[in-house]
Amino acid sequence: MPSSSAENKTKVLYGDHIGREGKLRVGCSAIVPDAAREKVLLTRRSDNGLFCLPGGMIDPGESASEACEREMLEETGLRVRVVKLVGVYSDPNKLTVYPDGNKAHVIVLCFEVEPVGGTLGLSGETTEAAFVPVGEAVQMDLFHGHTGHIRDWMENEDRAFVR
Amino acid sequence: MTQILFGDRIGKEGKIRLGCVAVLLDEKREKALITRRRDTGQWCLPSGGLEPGESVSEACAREVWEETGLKVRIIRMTSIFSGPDRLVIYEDGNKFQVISLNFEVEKVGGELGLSDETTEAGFFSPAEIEALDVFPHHRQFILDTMKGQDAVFIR
Repeated sequence: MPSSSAENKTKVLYGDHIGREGKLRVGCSAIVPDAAREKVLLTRRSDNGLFCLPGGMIDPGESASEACEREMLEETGLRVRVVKLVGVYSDPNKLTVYPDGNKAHVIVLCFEVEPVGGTLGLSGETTEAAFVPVGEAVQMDLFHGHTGHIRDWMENEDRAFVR
Repeated sequence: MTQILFGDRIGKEGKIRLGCVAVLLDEKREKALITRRRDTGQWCLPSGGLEPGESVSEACAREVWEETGLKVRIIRMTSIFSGPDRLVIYEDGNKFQVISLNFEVEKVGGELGLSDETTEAGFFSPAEIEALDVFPHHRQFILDTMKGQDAVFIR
C-alpha cells in the first residue's frame, strides 16, 4: 500500500462559515460545451481521482479570463476564448484543504468558453478528459461542487448566478 | 494612505485579492450613490475586500452597511474588472492585484449616513461624477450598471 492516503489528496470540508479557517483564493472553472450543447468537457484530477471542470487559480498579473484560457491550455491542450460568465461561487461553508496542509476559502468564477484551436489531450494534472452528456455529468460526484456550475449553465441565462 | 499604481502587468508584484463593489442607483436610474473617503479625499462606490468565510453577497452587504448605513441586497452582477495592470498598495505596505466583482444592489433598509471612513455621501450622475476626483474605473462601473445589460461585462 502506498503511504499516500486521504492526507495526500486535496479535500473539501463543509461547515458553518468554515471558510474563515483558510486564506482567500480566487479561481476559475471552464464549461466547454460540444457543438450541440449536450455534453461538457470533464477532466479527471491526478491528485484525488475526482472528475471536475477544467480550471485553476488566477495568478497575479493576469485577468480572470486569461487565467481560464491558460488553465484550459495547460490541462486539456485546447485553446479557448471566454464567451460569458456563468456565475460566481463563494460558498463560505466550504474549506479546501491541500495535501501540503494549506487551507483556502476558494471563490470560483465559472466561465463558458468556446474552443478556437488546439487538440484535446492530457497533462500532468489530468488522467482522463472526455465530453460527458450533461445529464450524466450532473449525477457525478464532481470535485468542489462543480455539478452546481453545470446545473446553472444548463439554465442558459444571460445573467450570472451569484452564489 | 492607499496608493494605486498602474503599469503593464504590474499586478504581478502583488497578491490576488477580491473586492466587491456596490452600485446603488436612484429610482430613475440616473444617479449612483458614492461616498467620499476620509483617508484620500477621493470619491468612490461603496466597496471593500472579501474576507475568508463570507460569501460575495455577505461581503457586499457588509461593506455598504459599514460605509453608508444602508442595508442592501444584490440584484445582479454587472461586471468583473480583473485589473492586471493595477497594483493597490495599502498603508501597511501590502500589495495586491484587486479583482473587482461589481454588483447592482437595492436598498432593503437603513438610513443613509456617514461612517469613520467617509466624510460625504450622495447620489450623483455620471456627468456630475466626471467633475469629481473619483476612484479609477468606478465611473465605468456605474455606466456599466446603467446600461442594464444582463450579461456580465468581462474587463
